[in-house]
Amino acid sequence: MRKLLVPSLAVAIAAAFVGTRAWADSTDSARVGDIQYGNALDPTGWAPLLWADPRGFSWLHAGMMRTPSGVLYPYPPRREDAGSPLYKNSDWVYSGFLQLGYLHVGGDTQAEFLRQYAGWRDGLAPGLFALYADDPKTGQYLEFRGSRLSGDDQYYRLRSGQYGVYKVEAFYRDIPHHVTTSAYPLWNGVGSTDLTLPAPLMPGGSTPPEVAAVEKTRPRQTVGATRRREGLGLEAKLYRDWSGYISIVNEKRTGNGLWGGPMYLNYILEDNGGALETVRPIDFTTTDVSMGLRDAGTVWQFQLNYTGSFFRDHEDQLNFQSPFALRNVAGVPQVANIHQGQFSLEPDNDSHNLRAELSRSLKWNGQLSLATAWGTMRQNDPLLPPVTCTGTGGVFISPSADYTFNCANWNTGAALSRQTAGARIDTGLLDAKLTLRPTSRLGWHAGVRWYREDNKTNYLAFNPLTGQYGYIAENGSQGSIIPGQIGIFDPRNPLFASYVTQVRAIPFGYSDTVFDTGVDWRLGENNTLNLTYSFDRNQPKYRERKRVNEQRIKLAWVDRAIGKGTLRVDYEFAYRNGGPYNYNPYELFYSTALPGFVTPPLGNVAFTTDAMRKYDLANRVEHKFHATLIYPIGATATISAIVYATRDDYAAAIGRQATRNRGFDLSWDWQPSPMTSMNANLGRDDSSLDFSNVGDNENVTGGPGRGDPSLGGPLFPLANQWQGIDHERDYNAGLTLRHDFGRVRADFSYTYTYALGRIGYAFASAGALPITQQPFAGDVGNGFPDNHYHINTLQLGFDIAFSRMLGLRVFDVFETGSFADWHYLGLQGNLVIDHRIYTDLGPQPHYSANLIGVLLNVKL
Amino acid sequence: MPPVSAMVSPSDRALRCRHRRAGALLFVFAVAGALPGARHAAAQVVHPAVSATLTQRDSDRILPTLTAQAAAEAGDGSPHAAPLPASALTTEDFRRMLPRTDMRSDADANAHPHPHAFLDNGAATSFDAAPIAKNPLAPDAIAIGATSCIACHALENLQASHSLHVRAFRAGAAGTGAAAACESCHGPGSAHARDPTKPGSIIAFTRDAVTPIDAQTGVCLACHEGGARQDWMGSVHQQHELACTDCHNPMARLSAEGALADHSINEVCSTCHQDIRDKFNRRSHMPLPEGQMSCVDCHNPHGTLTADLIKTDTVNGTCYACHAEKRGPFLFEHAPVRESCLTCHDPHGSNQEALLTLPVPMLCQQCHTMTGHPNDLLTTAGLATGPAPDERLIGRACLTCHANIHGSNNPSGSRFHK
Amino acid sequence: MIFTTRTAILFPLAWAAMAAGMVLAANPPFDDLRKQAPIHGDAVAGASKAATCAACHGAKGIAVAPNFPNLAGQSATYLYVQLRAFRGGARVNPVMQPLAKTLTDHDMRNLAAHFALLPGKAVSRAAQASSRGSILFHDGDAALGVPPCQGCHGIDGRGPRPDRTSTAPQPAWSSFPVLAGQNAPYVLTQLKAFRDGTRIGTSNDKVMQGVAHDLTIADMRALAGYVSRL
Repeated sequence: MRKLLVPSLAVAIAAAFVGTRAWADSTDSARVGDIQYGNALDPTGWAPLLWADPRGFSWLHAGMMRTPSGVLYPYPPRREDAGSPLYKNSDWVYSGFLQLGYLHVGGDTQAEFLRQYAGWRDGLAPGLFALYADDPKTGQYLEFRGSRLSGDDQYYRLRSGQYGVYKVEAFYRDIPHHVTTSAYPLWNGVGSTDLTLPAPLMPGGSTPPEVAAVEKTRPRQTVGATRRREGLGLEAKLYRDWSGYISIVNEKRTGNGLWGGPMYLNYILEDNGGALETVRPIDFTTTDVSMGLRDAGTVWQFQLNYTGSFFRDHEDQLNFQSPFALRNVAGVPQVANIHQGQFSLEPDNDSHNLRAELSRSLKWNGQLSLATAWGTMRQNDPLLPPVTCTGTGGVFISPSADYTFNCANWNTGAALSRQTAGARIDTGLLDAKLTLRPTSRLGWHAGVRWYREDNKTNYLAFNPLTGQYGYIAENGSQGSIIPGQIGIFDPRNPLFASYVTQVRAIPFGYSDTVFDTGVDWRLGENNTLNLTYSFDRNQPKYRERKRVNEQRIKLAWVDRAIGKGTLRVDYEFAYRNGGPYNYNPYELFYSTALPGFVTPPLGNVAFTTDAMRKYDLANRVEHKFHATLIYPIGATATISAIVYATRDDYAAAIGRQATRNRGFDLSWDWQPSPMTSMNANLGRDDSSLDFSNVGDNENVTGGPGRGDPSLGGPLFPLANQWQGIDHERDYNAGLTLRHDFGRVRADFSYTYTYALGRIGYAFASAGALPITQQPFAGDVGNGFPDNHYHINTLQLGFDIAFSRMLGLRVFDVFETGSFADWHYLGLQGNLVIDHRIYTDLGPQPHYSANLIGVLLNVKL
Repeated sequence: MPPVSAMVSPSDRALRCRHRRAGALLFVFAVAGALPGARHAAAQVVHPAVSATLTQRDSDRILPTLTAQAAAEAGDGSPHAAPLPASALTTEDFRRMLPRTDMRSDADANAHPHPHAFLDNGAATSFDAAPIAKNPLAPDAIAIGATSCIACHALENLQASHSLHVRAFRAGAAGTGAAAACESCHGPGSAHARDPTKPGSIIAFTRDAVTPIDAQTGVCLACHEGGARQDWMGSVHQQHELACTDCHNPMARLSAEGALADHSINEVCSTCHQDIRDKFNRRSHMPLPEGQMSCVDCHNPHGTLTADLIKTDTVNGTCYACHAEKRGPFLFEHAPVRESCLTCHDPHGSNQEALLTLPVPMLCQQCHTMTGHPNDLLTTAGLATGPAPDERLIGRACLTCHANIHGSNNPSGSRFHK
Repeated sequence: MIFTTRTAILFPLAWAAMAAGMVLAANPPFDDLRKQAPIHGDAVAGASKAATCAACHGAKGIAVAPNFPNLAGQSATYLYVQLRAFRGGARVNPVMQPLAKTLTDHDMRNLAAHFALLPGKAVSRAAQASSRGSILFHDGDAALGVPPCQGCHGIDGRGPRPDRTSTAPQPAWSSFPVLAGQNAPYVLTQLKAFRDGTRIGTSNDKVMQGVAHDLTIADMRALAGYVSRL
């Protein structure tokens, strides 16, 4: 706590010198989450109240003012000029609005893209209930806003307080996330921790045709989760410039998600292994506590924030049954029936973060800011045993080649070196920043930032029962198919004394130091230039590089001389390099580092190729260009345009090599009067990504040269190199039109989205392909079929006013989409492919849906 | 209403401070004032008779100099007693002006720069003490009070009445009597009232303002400094010369909250960041188009300590706020996951499943050569429709087995398939 | 399009409800002058139509009695929009309204051009710089919440003189009247009408309503007296 003493003291001293300041909005834009309350029916959460006041903004002039950048402000919305008194002779006045009516969804109501984040449901829906009341004499106010589409898509938020004195906030909301609406899980118990096979399927005892037959009878399900959040917050002015806040938010997330289930590779072993797409439960509770103290003084500003987050996963595991039998590729027939799989799901975790930030105004319109933060993320969940099997697993060839393991030695906690995870990462942040603006023509700033993640996790995969290191791979399946590939190292047993396996957790961490400095020049009254240089030194731990430096120069130009608009142009150049690249920095955590490890005569198989440069650490040259133009046309229209391009080149023979991105957006806004507004926009984005990889020569992994990591060596021959190219193109267009005819107001919108994606490839020879695909090398062409995502949405709505108080909204949204993704190609009616079981058919190839709403608007 | 004497309790300390701040502010304006004012020649459409008068009389145009002496002289026979200049408003005048008392003139402001101390009156708000902004482009201007302003700006007044900003000022005025309102932000109004179109006669916050951007920002920050805006100086939006009013419009309630310049946060941001808005139209995206989230859920546009206006110490810290299950730490970590979620995901939207930047398995194959199954070129032959279906390509591809890709807490999970 | 029976029923119901609820509340006539461009007219043609006007406003545009306004030298656009307001009912006057109804839009423009070109009333200037009227005209009264008149009517009451360097959205300046030399009783009547809300039919009137809101009768009288002698 000594860390806190100095700033606290400084604060106390500072507090004695400061005057009263207004404070407001002290947490909102600084807090993560729950800023926005809306839904698919009304993303703004305010739409029915946005029709413009026909009177406009001023009796003195027509039209609206423009923002300093040149964009027209929208006309102010139509409101009653004065609120009604809450009751007779009350000082409180209120205004309220209720939109209530009936929604109906027709067509492909279960289309994934229609429901992704929207809980559409037929029935009565309060589209918006908004109430605002305040007492103009005391400044006390109360505000409520709520909307409900369905039980898993709704929000209610209440705010109350006194302007500038205190604010209490309470909310409740449900946010749906539908991951897929066409899931056909094979198992019973979806949503629970135990997936069991439906009769008549037998774990480890069914054939693919039998499984396929059962799969065809499984009902369609939706996979996804709902986030139910409730929160309570209080902010209050404490003394003079000091304010404090505290908030507690609780989230309950329930549902399920698509998951996996490995029983070893199937592609290479026909009628063997298993790759199962399962469904996992989601049953999380997260409690977030946030509190802080702020001083917004004239000279000194200070804030001290604490955030605590407490995550609880009520389901810590997923158990699943595989219907398929495994067959060992050598030795006497299968000795164990490995058909039970298990996953550890995310552990409970606690996190704390304490941050203090102190700023002082300086001469020359300057500011000095110092910040420090300390955080920790911890979890100490009980560890599950390495396997759940019983009996003997592995492969028996002969008494001298006994590659079996006794499940009993691995299926209890006694097989572990420790019973709980004891995982912990501490973080630290120091930040100092100095800004000076001695004249309005010149500004200068400089800053240093240091951040560290210190991973204190220390886990040794050692089984005290057997004296062996390592783990049982893939639920025991790998070692029960391939002799010896259990995943364990045993210095006392020559069969396992040369086995390379991970035996320790790798405590990845890093420290990152950034220095940056920049100048702003004002050239004349309409031009500003800004030049910033930064140097970022990242020092990752246990990664391929111990040091990565990135230098970056940013040039920004703001011009206000063009028309009455603004042009902002940015160019960035960055160069990244670093220390030597070690293609295998993980030795320390593998059995090869343990005493007793016997290096085989031919050496260990190379961990990977030394030509690999992982793109987060590779040398890189980056250029970025971005220009934004806001250009007013007359008094009622604005054109805005952006053009951008980015290119990254990585120095990598193997790995990501280059990315390119360029695009533009053009938008036209027109508001000739409060009664009419229109927007049209058009955009296109193109991107590409090139990467390269090399297939290992599987014939060499057991022979001479297996230790050679070089590209072009025997293990990674150039003949096996291949190239992947991703091309993506996105088109976006939109048109919105609103017109107020007086008693009837009409709104129309159309949005168009078309995204294309193509993975292309090129290969030196068929050797780049897996053995199973090599025979077809001549037929595979140069890429996958195009993926696409194509959505058209048309909306037409009418608001009809009956009286000052009462109106009706009638609207229709028609959406049609088409979709293709080769991941799902051929799965329709074919979810079981040999020992592979799939659950998700993917988004619908075509859908069209219609939403119609008839809602009463009542002014309260 | 509290007795006037109770309101007037300025402490010396507070007084000193206010002056210091006013000095700093004055400096900004003084510097700004040295700039040549923006003088765009605008073709003004004026009636011929009027423009004739203009040309003819422009040269002998004089600004009236109203002094207290002049005001003290006798009227032209009108029975109205004791005409008062604006500079001599009394507390009585303010009393008389209630309930339209959302005003305060220089005389009162100068006499009682800190008329209200928080502890003196629990009912009052911070707005009561709002000072009148200094306008260096009209240094001789004096405050005329909001009532004078809204005489002409009647409709503006009505529209602004629905904004939180103005409601708060009103309450401040009602709580403690006279307080500044319009002139707290726009500066003293007398010069503008006499010659309303003279650029700079009032502090404006729109495209037409001749007041420099940083001076405009200074007006807002005079009250809104600190808190979420503590890191404004040097932030990317400050460097790109954004003004507060590029994103906010305190003069009308255009948004449910936040006094925004458009109908929602996302619309405000996409005014400039259209490319990012488009990304949210992609197949996988965060629920922004569905109104469940906003840009400001992750970014603080007012400046932060972290690059890209991220609110937490790191990008991951922000992601963990909603994806707390991925925070761990896990027994077995996946290095790029811990380092940055952005290694594999584009949070704004992507054409792949789960915001991934490339389809799996290609995403993984950018880093994983190893030996064995990770490094093969997978082709159309491996699709479910192909002659050699391959689980590395179909459905969840790599993630079918390596499902715990964000980290595993299982003793057998070092490769994330447990 | 996918409709179900339920929606099909809802629609007619909704329209019926709407028809039943439709009670039109007629809005008083309003003439929005904010986009009013300066007008042009044929002064000669206007002169030929001006005979009727002369009865009250004088042959030379100088009113025959001080309760009528002088039209000579007035802004043509102002004259035009007032005639238009009379005709459309946005400005109420039992004499002017029927008269204006007989005029075409061309007539109104021509008449306006005619009167605008006539020389304004010459006044004998008195030293009034320190009068209450002068103070109100030049500086307003912050205590009352009255802004100075000169901002819009010109420092000498001869019409607005906007700063041509301003790029801000501008009022329809040409529709603002010249006050110099206007008859005091007429000005007084109009100020009262603004204050009392009996002359609020144009966007400019809405401004004047706010301006006059806090004027006392004595102040109005002082102002009227002052401008009449400008």
